[in-house]
Amino acid sequence: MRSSIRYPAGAQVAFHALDAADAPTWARDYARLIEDVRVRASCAFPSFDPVDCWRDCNARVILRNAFADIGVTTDDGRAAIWMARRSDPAYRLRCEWGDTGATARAWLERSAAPFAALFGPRAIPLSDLPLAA
Amino acid sequence: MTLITRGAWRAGPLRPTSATWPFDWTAEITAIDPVCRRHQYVGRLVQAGGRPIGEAQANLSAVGLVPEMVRLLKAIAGVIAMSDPEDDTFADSAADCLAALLDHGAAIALVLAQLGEETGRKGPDE
Repeated sequence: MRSSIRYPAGAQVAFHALDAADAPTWARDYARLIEDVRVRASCAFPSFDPVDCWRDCNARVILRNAFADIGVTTDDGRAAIWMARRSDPAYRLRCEWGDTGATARAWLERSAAPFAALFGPRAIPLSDLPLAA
Repeated sequence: MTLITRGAWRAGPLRPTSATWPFDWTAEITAIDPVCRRHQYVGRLVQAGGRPIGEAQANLSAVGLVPEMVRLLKAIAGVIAMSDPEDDTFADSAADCLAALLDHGAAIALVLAQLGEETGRKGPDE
């Protein structure tokens, strides 16, 4: 039975298949997916900057703006592309000194629909991604 | 017994923790598990900023090679067991033991090369 893929609580999520059987192909597909998410999300949301860090053991953050992280979690042949409110210390400090939290929630609510339109609520085969060759 | 994180470890780029002195060198270690097809975060390696960058990079590379070194140590332990008359896997043949050892020669040379160490093996022109 498949384990449930874990991503940050409250995140907007889209799932993709990432199920290449052999390790080198999987690593290549994974790198291509990361690049594809970076390119498409940066076009749709220009406020995001590329980063490379982790929220926990599984959630890799690849883009960050003032309010949110966009990242990828992989497990058992699937990838979850997610957008979630930031949780890093610098963001939490800003929340303590202003109304950043409310602004972030409002921004995420507005951005949920464009995110779903961009990455789709349903799984899209990797071969259908624009950067897939 | 608890084992090390499964998969191929990757060392991220070495970065200073701040733009001004004093700083530490830091880098993230991640692992790609080929069985679960999962990329996960293992941890962060922090080194003293006083270490020269080349040495810090070499230390980081060595940490990234830990799973491969463990694999090779297990393989060599298997060959030692083959050579032990009191072990269940004892092979009463020095040639078989040597062949099993030489099977790992290329992998050992690769690890040593990545660590910047000489293997002591002569090249084809020597």
